[in-house]
Amino acid sequence: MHPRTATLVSFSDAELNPARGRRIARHLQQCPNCQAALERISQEKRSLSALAGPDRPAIDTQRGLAGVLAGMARWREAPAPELRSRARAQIEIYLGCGAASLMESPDIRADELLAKTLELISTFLGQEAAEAVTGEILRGLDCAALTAEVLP
Amino acid sequence: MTRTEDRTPLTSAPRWIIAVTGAYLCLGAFALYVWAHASSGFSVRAAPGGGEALSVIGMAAAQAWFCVLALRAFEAGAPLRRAWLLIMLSAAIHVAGGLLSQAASLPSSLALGSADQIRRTGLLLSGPAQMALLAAGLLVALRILWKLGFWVRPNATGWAVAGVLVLFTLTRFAATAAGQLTADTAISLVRSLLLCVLSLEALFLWLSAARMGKGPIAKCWRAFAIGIFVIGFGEAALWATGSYVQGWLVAALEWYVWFPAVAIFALAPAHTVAAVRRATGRASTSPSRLPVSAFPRTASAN
Repeated sequence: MHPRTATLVSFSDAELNPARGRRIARHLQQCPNCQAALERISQEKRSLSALAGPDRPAIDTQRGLAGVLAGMARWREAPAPELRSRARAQIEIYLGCGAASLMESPDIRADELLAKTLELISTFLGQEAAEAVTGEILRGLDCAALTAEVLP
Repeated sequence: MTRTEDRTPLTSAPRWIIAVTGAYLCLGAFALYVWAHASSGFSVRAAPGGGEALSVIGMAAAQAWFCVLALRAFEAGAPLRRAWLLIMLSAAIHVAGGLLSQAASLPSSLALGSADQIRRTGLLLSGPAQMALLAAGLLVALRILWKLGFWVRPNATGWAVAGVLVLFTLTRFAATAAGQLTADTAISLVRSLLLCVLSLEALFLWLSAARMGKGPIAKCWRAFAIGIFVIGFGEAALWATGSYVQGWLVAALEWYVWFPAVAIFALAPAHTVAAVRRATGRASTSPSRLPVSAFPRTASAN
C-alpha cells in the first residue's frame, strides 16, 4: 500500500517515528511512483526555501503537503490585493479615476492590471517614467514572489 | 504609499503658465479700463498687417520648448512620439510665422523681399501650416486613445455641436468664396477648413479626456481641446462681427483670445512634462525596481 502524500512530506522532514520511517524507506526502495512523488516534494521545498524571506508568512510544515501548499498559496496571494490597489492608485494619479475604473475590470488579475498600468504610463509618459512607476508600485512588495507569479 | 513630490520648476510649469496668463488678462482688463476712460487721448492699434503680438509668439515659443521636453521622454518608435513631434513642429512653425509677420513691419524687411510677401508667408506658416501639423499630431493621439480604449462615441449633444461646427465652416467658406479670391482670402478659407477639422478632433479629445478623469495626462489632452475651442470662438467672433478692419477689436481679441489659446496649448505639454518629472522624480531609488519588459503586454498601442 502506497503512503499518503502527507506521510511522504513528514518523511522528507524526518518527522516520522523511527519504525514508520524504516517502513516507508523500504517501500520507497521498491516503488518508483513514490520515489517520483518524494522527488517532487523535495523540489517544491527547495524552491520554497530559495524564495523564503523575512516578511513571508510561515509555511505550516507540520500539516504536511497540504500545509505546504496552503502556505504557498498564502504568500502568493498576499501581495496581489496590494499590487492591485497600488496599480490602480498610479492610474488615478496620472490619468484619473475614470481610466482606473475602465482598466480594472472585475476579472482582471493583479499582474494584468500592473501590465496595463505600465503600458498606459509608457504610452503617455515614456519608458523611463513607466520604469519609475514600476518601482513605485513594487516598493516594499515581495518582488521575487511577484516575479515568479507574473513570469511564466 | 507616501508621495514625495519633486518640486522643480518644471513640475510647477502648468501653474506658472496659468499665473502668467491670468496676469496678462488682468493687465489687458486694466488697459481696456484706462482706454475706455481716456479714449480720446490715445488710440489702440492692432499688430501691423495681421501679424501676431510678440507675447503670443513668446507663448508659442514656450509651447515649442515644452513639446521638445515632452518629446525627449519618448524613445524612438514610441507611439506618442510622432504625435509630439508633429505638435512640436506646429508650435515651431507658429513661432517662425509670427516672427516673419513681425519682420514684415520692419523697414529693413524690404531687403529680404516685399513686405507683403513676407507677411503672407508668415500668415501661411502661423495659420494653415501650423493648424495642419497640429491636426495631424492630434489625429495620431486620437488613434492611440482609441486603441487604448478611451474612445467615446459622442452623444446627441456631441453630434449637435459637431453639426454646428461643420455648418459654421461651410457658411463661412461660402461667404468668403463668394467674394474676390485673393491670397489672403485663400489662406483664410484653408484656415477655416482646418479649424473645422481641429474642432471635430477637439470634440473627440474632450470626450476621451473626460472619460480618463482628472490626472495630468487627461489634463494635457483636454487642454488641446479647450485651446482649439477658444480659437474657434475667436474666429467665430471675428467673422460674426465682420470687422477685420477695426483695429481695436482685433487687438482686444488678440489679447483675450489668441494669447489664452496659445497659453492653453503650452499648458498641454507642460502637464505631460510635469507628470514625467513627477514620475521619474519619485521611486527612482526603489530597490524593487523591475524593467517594464519583465511584464506581459496586454495590448499594443502601435
